[in-house]
Amino acid sequence: MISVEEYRRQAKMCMRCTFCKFIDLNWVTSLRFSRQCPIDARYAFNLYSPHGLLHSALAELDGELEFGPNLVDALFKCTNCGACDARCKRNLDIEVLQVIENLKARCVEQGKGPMPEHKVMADNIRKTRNEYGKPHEDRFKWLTKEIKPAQKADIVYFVGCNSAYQQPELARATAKLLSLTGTQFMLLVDEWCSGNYVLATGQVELARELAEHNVKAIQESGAKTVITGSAECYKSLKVDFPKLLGKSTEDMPYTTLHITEYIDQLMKNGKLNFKKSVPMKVTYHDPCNLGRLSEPWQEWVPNYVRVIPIGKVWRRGDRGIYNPPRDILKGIPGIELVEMERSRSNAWCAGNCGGVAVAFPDFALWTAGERIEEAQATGAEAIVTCSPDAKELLAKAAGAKKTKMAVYDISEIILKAI
Amino acid sequence: MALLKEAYQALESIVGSEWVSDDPAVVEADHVAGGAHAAGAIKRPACSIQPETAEEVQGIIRICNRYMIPFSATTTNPPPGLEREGVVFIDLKRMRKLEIDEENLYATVEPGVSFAALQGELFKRGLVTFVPMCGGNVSVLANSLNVGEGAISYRYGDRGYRRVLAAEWVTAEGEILRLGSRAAQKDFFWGEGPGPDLRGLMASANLESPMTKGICTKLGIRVFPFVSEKLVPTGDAPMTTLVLPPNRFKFYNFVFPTKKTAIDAIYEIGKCEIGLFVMTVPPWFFAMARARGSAEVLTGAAGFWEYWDNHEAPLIRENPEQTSCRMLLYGIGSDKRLAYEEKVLLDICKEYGATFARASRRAQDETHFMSADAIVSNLAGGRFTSVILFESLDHAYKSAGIVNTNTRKHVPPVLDDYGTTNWFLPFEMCHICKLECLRFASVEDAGELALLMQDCHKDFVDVGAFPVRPESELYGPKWENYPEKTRKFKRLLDPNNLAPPLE
Amino acid sequence: MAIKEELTGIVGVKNVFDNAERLKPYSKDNSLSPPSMPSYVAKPKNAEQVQKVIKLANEKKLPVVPCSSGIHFHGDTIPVQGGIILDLSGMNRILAIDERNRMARIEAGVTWEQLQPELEKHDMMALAPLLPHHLKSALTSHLEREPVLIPKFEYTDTLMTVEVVLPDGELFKTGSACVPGFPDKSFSDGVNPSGPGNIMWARLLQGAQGTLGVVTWGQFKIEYRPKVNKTFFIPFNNIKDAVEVVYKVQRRMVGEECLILNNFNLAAILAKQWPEDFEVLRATLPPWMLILVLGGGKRFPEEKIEYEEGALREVATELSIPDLPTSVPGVPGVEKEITDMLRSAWPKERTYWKFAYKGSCQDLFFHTVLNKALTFTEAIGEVAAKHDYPLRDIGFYVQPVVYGGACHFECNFYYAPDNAEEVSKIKNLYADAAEAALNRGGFFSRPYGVVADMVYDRTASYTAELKKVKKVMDPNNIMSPGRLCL
Repeated sequence: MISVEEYRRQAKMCMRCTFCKFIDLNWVTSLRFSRQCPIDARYAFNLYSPHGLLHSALAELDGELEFGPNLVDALFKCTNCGACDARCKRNLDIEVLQVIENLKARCVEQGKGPMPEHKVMADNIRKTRNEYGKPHEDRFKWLTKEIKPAQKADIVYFVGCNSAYQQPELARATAKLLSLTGTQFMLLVDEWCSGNYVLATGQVELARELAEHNVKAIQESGAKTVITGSAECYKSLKVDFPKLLGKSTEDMPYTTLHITEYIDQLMKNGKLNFKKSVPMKVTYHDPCNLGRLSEPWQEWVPNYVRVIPIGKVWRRGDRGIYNPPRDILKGIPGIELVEMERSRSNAWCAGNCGGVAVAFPDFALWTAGERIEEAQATGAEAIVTCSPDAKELLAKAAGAKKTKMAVYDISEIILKAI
Repeated sequence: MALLKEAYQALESIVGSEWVSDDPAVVEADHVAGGAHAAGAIKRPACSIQPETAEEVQGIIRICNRYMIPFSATTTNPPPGLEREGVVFIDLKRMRKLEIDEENLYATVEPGVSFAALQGELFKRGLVTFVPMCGGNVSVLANSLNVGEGAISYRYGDRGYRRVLAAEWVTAEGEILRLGSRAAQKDFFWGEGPGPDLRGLMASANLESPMTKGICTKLGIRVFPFVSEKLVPTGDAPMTTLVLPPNRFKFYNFVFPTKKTAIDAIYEIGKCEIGLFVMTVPPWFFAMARARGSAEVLTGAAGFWEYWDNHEAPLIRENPEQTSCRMLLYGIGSDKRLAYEEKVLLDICKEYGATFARASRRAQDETHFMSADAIVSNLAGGRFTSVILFESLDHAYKSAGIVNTNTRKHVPPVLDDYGTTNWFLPFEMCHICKLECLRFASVEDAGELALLMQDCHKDFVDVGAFPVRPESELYGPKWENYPEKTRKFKRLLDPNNLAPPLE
Repeated sequence: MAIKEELTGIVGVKNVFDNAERLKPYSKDNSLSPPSMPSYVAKPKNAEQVQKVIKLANEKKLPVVPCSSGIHFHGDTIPVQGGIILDLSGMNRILAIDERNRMARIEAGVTWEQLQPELEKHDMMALAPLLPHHLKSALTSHLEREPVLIPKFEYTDTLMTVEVVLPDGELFKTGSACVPGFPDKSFSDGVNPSGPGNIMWARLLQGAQGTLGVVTWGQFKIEYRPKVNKTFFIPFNNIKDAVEVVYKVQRRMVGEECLILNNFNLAAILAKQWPEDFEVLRATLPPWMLILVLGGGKRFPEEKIEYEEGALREVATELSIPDLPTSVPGVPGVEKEITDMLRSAWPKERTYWKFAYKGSCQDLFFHTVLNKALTFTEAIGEVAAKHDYPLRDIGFYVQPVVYGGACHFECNFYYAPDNAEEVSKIKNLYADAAEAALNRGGFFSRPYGVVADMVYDRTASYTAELKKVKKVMDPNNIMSPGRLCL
């Protein structure tokens, strides 16, 4: 995590301009969908806001505030979606998310966090290598006779806990996509949870352990490319692992691709055609972990000349994976793609990020419900996303709202078109 | 300082226990004063409370009066008046209703409605509002009562006071006062009267808090005709913009040989009634425009410092007097209007010796409609101060001289601006002009900025300049002893002195 | 010392009156308000004298009623509780005309007749209400918030800064005029109306009808007076159609003066020979006329008019309006005259247009939104019918303001002031019409006489606060007591 000096420096820069609570202002087209921070939109007090948390970070550092129940509640309800970070980078370039991550880590270090449910999740991972506590040996139970991973290949398909255990149909869909495109891929001999929610809940030591294991497993496999269908695992592989290991993304012994990046490449190289029409009006939900949080990590030792950081490569959320999923959808005959008001780096979090759904299921459901309402406002029949976790929660929210809105993972849509 | 248990319970009975808290973490998040973590000068509020209606606001204020508890209120800005102990901090962000009467050009807003949200809704209806320079995220209601200016104040009229219509106001004693048409009926379409205009008591457009005599809970606000074509948002932050329809808008950059000719020409532009806005452009804006974000690596291409040191600074050293201006021509209402405005502008530029130099600013100019680039002034971790005056263009020109002279006494700045960072924004077709003198320093040198302000004010008083937010002790004796008079009204409307104090 | 002696000591013997003959003209005006005699009239020449009179009044607890025009229409200068009339008509200097900052500074006694020709020499004009009486004080029009003919938003709220003698006798300058050395030795040009301090003082003084102080000079915006104009006189059978055009034209931000008159009022304005011209005009003019002036800009004026006309024609096409006449039907050749009249005071050689029909006129006016204009004309008509007042004898004037976002709605009831029966009828009609307007949402932002009583009865919180403000500013209640609700 960042040094105390850098942590203080970043938090101190906050002017409480409140840009962090709204989508990029040029993109605001309505009162209803102008806000971007879930905790700010749902809860009362300024504590439940990015600037509130930054201010709390300073107060805690100065010994003026303890990790009491309300601070812990606000802190761990923050989904780490990074919206505030991207917004702040328009004007002040504060590393808002780094401060919040650091604050969570400090909370855990002092034994005041995370939430009990997060600790259960961590224990599950320690014991069974997945967040659900299900048998580790069942991790690849989703495989069918038709899906035949190679023993050795240049590409590893990193499945992720949700696809492996909760929505095996998505694991199968992704694997089928790889097979149908003639892609040789293998599975890791010993895939562990990527630890996205572990790191997001401040449990840094365990997160590092998971990173070390998975990186070693990938290295030992000999694969040079890791493909995943999970936005959360994508971010872990590409951003969190190098960060935890003191490296940059480019230093890692593998390249990370989301399945949509891969399919998009095939499409644009003429190696994949969509033969079937899928007549559907859809809207696309940008998962935070695939969008604004997915830019490559650049390790940097703080070095300032007056106010200017020397040698720093900025991550402002504009280089996330926004286009490939959209290009795929637009390339499928029959699909009419309409955009929600809050899209790309302005996307509203579906509520699954940051381990929030684990500890605060009602709040997570509310957050997802907001997204469903936004999708409904476009007139779309279905919402498509690239994160199994987000898909699961959005589907639940759609059901809770008794709407006919269908929720798909993009792999399901692509399969319909091949 | 903790609240009396009875007082706290009384507050709970007004809003419900979910919407009031005295938890240390909750109130610490409101322990802010215009920026980061604050200590010393301001104190932690006693509690934070979030009402949803004017009646709840009234209930809260009445309880404060009963128990003699000071209060403060805000939506986006840090709350004023936290120098006092035991303040009840009233956060108005739950009050977010917005109604728009499209035909009759007004909107009714509650405190939680932001400018960007209002603008987004207005654009759909072929209407527009001004978005202040501090950003489209701020509260329409609060900002309109405070200053309420934006770039398009040039065309659509000075500051917030010109757009404020009827109001619903909870006085510091806890009475609901209705002003303008709302006094007599249910709508907010007209602001004056009946008879003497008591809106004059509530706030002036001087950057002073409008909370000192009460809390406005609903406000009618004038909105304006606009083009029907869509302004299309594009790009991913931080490089987003609104694409302006080319048949309706055209930007012009032009450079005058001296500041004086620039001012003369701008007066003429106002008299000819063309444009949506016109302003002088401090050279550092051009450098800022070329940075990818508010701070850029020194070694990166087209970084701020590279551009400044190698492009702007030499030009200024060569001719410190030359003045860049920028104008947005406005083709509303007729397909031929844009061409007419352009012809007039070129005629004026020719007469006053302007040249057309420099590439456009980055596309983010268009963000004057949403003010998405508000706080770049901080130059990534530095500090800035702003000396602001609202008076005539000539007054601005003379006052800028004072700021430049004083700036030279206070070093080091982050940016050696050679006295060029003064920003002239004429409003109301040049009937009035905002002069904003931005000055920068690193966090370590921030103290110099405060000294600079003090020096400027001492000089302003003697020459009859008119800055915003004058210190009443310094200016009062020279400005008609106004503090005595304003205090009378403060005592009238806030007899128990519970609202934030006058400045 | 007797009051008169004291007053004489302040303003000079020639400027103090207490004989009935000299007092009588101040006891009444052209409104329906009952007469009331003052005790004295004092005519100061400068602010210092005004201050001294106010201080004397405070000492002696005497009411003071300021006036500056030579004519009054609303009863607001009748001294309902006697006292001193402070007649400022002698303070009639034009203090400054600033073309660069487009502002003028005038003393209270400067009339429209005096002002506009002076400004015209500089190619400028003040934004005027409809055909003000030549004796009307221009500053008073600004203080009364009379609506101006040009609804461009950037033109409204014309008053910038003022010098005022407060009810305690203190001299005070508002806004950026408060700085030391103003106007000649300060950076400030007096163009910022806000402050000093967190109050917009000039707003308190506007609409106050002399109850909160005596304004001795005021500074307000002036604008370029177009030299090239094209005026349209668009006829309508009903006001609803006229309003539709106004909405669309104003949304396109086109035009200078823009107003709607019914045939009665337009006939009264145009008629030179009475009653012959008037009756012919009233019979031949269309029921409603929208007058829209397209004014050429300072540069390339014809081209500005050309594009504005194009926009107007597009509106006409949208609304299927077949014709856009540039002359008044049946009255050719008056186009330029009318345009010039709209930028001038009513010519003094002609009987004032509101007096020509029967000798006097009671105006009822309020603010509303344009799309309610029809509702109000019908409502007023109904009330008039109940009082046996023919609809055809009512004048109507609808003035769009702020790009058509609202309007000043005015109806004029003409009557013979010497006919007691008519006077009584008009009083009742006026009161009932005001009530009807109030009930339908007409907002009387400028209430006078009996209307003020009606309005303040309905605005409880505002009324209470206003009284408190009055008490703070005028603890001895000497300024126009009994006016408004004060």
